[in-house]
Amino acid sequence: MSELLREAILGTARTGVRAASSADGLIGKLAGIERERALLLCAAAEALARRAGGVLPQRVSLLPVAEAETMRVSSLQLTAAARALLEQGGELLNETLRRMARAGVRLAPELLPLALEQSSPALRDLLRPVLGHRGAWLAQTRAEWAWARAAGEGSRALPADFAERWSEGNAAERRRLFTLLRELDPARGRELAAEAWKHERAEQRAAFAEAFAIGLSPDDQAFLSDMLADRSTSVQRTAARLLWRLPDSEVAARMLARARAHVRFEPGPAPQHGTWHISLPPEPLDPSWTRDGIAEKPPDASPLGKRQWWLQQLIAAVPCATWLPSTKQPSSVAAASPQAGVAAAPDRMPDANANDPALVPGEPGKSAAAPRSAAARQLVAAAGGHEFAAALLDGLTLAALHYDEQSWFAPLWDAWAKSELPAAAPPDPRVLLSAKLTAQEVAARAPQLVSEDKLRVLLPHLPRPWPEPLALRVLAAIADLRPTFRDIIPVAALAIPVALLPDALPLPEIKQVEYPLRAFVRALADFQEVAALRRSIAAETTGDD
Amino acid sequence: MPLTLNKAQVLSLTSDGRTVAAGQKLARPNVWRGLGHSAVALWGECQGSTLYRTQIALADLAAHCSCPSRKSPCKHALGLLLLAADAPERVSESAQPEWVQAWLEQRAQQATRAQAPDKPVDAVAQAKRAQRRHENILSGLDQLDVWLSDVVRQGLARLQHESYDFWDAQARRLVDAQAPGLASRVRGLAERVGASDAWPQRILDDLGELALLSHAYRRIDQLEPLLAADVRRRMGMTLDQREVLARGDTLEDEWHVLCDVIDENERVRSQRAWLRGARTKRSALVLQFTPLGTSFEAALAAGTKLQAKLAFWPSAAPQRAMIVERSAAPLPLMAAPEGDDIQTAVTGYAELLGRSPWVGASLIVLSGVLPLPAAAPEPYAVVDATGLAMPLRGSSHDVLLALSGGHPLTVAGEWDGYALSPRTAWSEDRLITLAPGAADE
Repeated sequence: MSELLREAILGTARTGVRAASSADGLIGKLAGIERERALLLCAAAEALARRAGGVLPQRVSLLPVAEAETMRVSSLQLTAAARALLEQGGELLNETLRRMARAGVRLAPELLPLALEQSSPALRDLLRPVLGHRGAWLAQTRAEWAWARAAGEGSRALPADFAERWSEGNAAERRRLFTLLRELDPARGRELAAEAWKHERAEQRAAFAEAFAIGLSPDDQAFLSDMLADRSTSVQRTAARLLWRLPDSEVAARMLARARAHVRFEPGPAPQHGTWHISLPPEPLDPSWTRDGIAEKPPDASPLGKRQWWLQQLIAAVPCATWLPSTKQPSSVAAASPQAGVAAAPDRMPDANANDPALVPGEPGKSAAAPRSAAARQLVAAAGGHEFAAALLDGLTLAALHYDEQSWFAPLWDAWAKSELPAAAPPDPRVLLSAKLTAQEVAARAPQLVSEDKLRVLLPHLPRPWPEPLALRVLAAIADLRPTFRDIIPVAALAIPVALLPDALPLPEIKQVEYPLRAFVRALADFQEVAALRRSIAAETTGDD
Repeated sequence: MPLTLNKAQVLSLTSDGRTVAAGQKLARPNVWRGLGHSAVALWGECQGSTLYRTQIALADLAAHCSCPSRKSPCKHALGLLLLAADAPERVSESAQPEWVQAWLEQRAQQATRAQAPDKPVDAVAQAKRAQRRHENILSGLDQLDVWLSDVVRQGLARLQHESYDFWDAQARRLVDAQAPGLASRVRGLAERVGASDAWPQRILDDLGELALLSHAYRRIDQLEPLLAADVRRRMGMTLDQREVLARGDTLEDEWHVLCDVIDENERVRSQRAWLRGARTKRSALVLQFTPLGTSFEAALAAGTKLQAKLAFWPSAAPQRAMIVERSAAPLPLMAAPEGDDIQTAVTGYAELLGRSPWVGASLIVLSGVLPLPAAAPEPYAVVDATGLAMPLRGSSHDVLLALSGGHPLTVAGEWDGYALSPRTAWSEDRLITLAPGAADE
């Protein structure tokens, strides 16, 4: 610090001797100038001198030059679109990144900092293939960009400041971090949970327990079993319900036994017939059931009575395949195939036969599908007509979703589509099932989806892109300006396959349209823009270069 | 053939990626009606949520559109230009519609008004006003000097405990004294206290600058006229365009637009564009202001060049200029500009500073520089081949690093002796505009 600066900071009233300055020669020529003024004028002169030469010798070392790129860079137009999408996020971003990866196109370097800032693991997975060597090189410069480094740390890497945020974060922050951890590194999640368990409040422990649903695997069984002895009942219940899905656990075994004690399906003489034999669990609710996670009281919105509510939970606890007729001893079916008990990851695409417990190992998937699907259809059809249809369908739906039983999704969806029954509890099973249908299943149901009001609301929840039969019907409805389709238009813009997007929809001039239709026409204009953007991105990322 | 530019050149008129994307979508004939051109203008009506009228003056590519966009050129204007460049057969020569005619006439009137002599000025009244202002400023400076001395007597450390009112009251006194330039410098000081670790030095520098200005104004008659002009400018005494034309130097050259920054607040849009003469190597700052929702008078975009005559504000180190005449539409710059190493750039700025201590920031162009990786507490910086590092201001550091990848860049920006605010970068010959960082100066 210069003497002049010291004097100025302390103040001339406090410092005795005037500080010397390199500008004294200059300022000294001014007659009768007071001390403060002289100090300021010297400061001005010194500042000018400093500004005339304000550079430093280099003190930070350079990085080695980045590897030359092998992928081609995106065009000016695609770069502009990518920048806007990265700032907004959303499905179009995901689609664009996938296309770029397939076509071997990388992000323009000026977008790399924005790309590296993204924190969602799913988005990081999509970004890695389009970062190029420059992206990996840039990632070295900041700790929080470690996920993009070339050394194969993968997007599974935790943010660099995770440990700090964990120890210093508030309860909400720690819950968020724990959820992230379960997605990226469940084992480490268990370790942290074990430490945290000793001093976290019940509310927080319950939240952590629920987060164990993410990335649930048999490795979690031991920890969850310990949780059954927790002081808080809500933690116990949550743990128990998670253990339902781990077939090697005692809880799961007990649930299976209880389910079989109250429910049985008897196939009928012809393939279409069959009967469910159900006895409702008796009142009062056995305490051992409560300990194993059965909730006693149905939710307020539920139309089910208490005993049917218990029945629904029993059915939801075990795989649907449990009820399929088989020649082996019933109790070993669920336990036999290790894939049976694992809960499906939240955003899995329906993978036709991978986790269906009825698949006999070694049998090729497709040839077994038809009879399995037919069997499922038979059971579901019979359920629809049963006295306890509501509990049955609801329970079967939850079970199919938890155990990822692909062959049950379409039959259950059909049953809900036909029935007037309300769901037993949110979320709406129709919505959940819609997300799981395969493209062929959707295509087969396209006519109903478009013509029935009740089913049209499910369009946003179907997997994307839509299969051609559905896409064409929706397009026809939109082009006809059918008012009931107005809310579908934004969804359609993203869900219709690019190849089917029309070049131009005939748009009437807005002033000539009656007032109620104006919003529709405006929505169509937006549709055009999104469609044009998707088409131009697709044109540039065709992959043939 | 309505337009002399091709598609690539039209695209270089704006460095705004979003306008580019949107403009390209509008370059399709089926969204336009009533397309036409004459010898002096190009026009069309574009179907958006309503029908927008877009028109372009071919001489200087000034655009006017009835859309509410704040950008210049807006996406409709860009779309129209692209269409004219790509598919000229769609834009046939025809009679100018009345709305195009009206706009052209209005522009012509504005131009002549700027150049025509005003009604005869009452010289006596003007002199009296000037004298009154001068006396007002002097008494404002008396009070400012007392305030400055107080600050130094009590010490800068005390400033951290002062409320905003301490600064605001002094600023308002200066506004009352008809020295608004000083008032805004005082308000700027308030922002700097505690803003960084090195704030005391910076505050001392700024206070010293105020003292120097005060000292200089009292002796303004003894100063050389151009330096006196600088002092008046710093006080906030503005010159109108007529006076600039009368008193400043003009310079004709092929001017390369190397940086442009557009800023908006609730009422006004402003643009700072730095130009450099190809022949004279002089740098020029063109400032434009326009109400929100309108386009700038002159279409200036980084990466273009234009043959023009500029008039400079009189100064001992002339920087600010305005465009007096332009002979043709702008053309794109196809390559990165020539730049200097850091020492040369700094020496060039030192020379300006030597001519006028109040020159403010100036344009520098550095070539062969590498951004250094972030390494707190060292400031962000670029380094040249000789090993000198220049500190960087703003938030573009990571983008510069990404563009470089270890390869040298050319960077153009504003240097004020403290840090470089990078505005434009070239990676090989590709131009990238850098987002403006926190405003400074």
